[in-house]
Amino acid sequence: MSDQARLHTRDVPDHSVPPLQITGLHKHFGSLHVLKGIDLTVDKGEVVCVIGPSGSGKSTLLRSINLLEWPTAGKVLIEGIDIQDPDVNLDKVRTRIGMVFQSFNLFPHMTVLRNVTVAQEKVLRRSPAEARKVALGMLERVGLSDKVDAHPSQLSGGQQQRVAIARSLSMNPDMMLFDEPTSALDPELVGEVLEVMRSLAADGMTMVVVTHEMGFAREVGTRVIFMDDGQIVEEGPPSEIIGNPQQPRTQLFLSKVL
Amino acid sequence: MALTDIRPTVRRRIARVSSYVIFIAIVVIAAVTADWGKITFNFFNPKVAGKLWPGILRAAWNTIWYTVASFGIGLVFAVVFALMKMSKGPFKWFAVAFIELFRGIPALLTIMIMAFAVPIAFPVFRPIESTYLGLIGLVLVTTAYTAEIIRAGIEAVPRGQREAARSLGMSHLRTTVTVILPQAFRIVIPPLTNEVVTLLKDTSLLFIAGATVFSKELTQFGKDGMSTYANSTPFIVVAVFYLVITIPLTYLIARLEKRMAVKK
Repeated sequence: MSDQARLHTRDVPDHSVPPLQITGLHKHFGSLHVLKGIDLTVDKGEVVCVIGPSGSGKSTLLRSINLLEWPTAGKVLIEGIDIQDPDVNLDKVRTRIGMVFQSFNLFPHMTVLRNVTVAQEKVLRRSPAEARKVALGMLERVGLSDKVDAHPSQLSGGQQQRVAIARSLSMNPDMMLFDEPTSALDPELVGEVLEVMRSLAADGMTMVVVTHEMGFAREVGTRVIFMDDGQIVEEGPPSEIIGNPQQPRTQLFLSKVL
Repeated sequence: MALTDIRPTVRRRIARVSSYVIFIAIVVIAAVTADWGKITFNFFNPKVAGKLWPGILRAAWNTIWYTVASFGIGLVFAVVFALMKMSKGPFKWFAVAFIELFRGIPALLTIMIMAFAVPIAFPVFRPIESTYLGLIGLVLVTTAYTAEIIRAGIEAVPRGQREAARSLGMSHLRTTVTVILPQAFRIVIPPLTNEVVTLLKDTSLLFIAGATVFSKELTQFGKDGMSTYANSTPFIVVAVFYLVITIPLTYLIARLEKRMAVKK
């Protein structure tokens, strides 16, 4: 194979392998050892819920998947692509990984519609008309068709988070990452966001969700991962991990949050 | 009855009234003792003021366009220098050196060096009128100050904004242009207003470069008028012209800021 061809294949997603494969992942922040050897494979259509006490490294793990945090050691393969390879176009891979943040991070200087079209136009090079069509479809899906001309500051937290989900979906990602998507919301607004996520899962979207919503994890998750102190302590179907945890650390955590 | 026995509301009223009385007394004494004939003749002389017209319009226009041009050019360079200073490597150190140099030496000195020293060293500058060379000096100074303002604005944009944009696949440059800078500019409108007003007044330093009839700005115009007519009225007129420019400008930008804040 020529160099050109090899370079090419490095960038091409391979849909025959699991969309996310993490091996031997370590992350240090200075002297702080946050992730201590994480191995995780997520298959297509799985909804993996990551639970655990704060400071256990779950957010860092999630942020390593699209390299918002660069691992100290270990490998992250997205659809077979080694995203730490300097020859890989990371920006291109990131368009296929939607990310939803705890603090929404909508662009405050743009309307709701512009929030959802800007990356389609600037990154995917869709025409304004096409981007608008996709955006309106996504905004309808999250139930915010009437807010297209509003600015983020005029929306409730739940509405902002639903716009953020629509913004990610507009890129047609192959998987979605959720970093405590309901933790910043007033309790009465949590439901509307979980509802959108539930419908995404029902449509077969591959999802990794860091959450404190045990009800959501139990009901929607296909697998639950309990993390503590930078390690995966226990993982399995929600009924086993949440319903009948084997590890004392998992039992202790669940006894506090349930 | 001792003073402390008076009710607080009454005491406060006494304090207010007595301060008015003292203030009015000072004004009256000043008005009575002043030589009004001399003051009117020297500072508010309508004959002298009339002679400044219409030459002062050209001077006012020069002050405005010197300000707009140096601020506009400076703003473009300032964004570049701010981004350079926030980068790593040689570009960073070049930007740091530039900013420290032109913030650290007096604007007047920079203008003199540009107007008089640079043409000696570099003959290509010799055909350019010294006022315009001085203007380049002013651009250097405002670039340095504005770069620091812009940098502060960029750093004030929450980190999550960049993370969200990068997660959508935007490149570093695309993120900066589309997401970060528009927000940074909104944040720094008040200090930028300050910089424009400072710059407008600093155009007066260009007098040191020795302007022609066509290139002189307001302050030099006032100074020349003072020499010509042996009268201080031109100073007062020029001062009024500065205020006529700066006060509406500040007000306009404040309104612009309010409009943007609603959108935010």
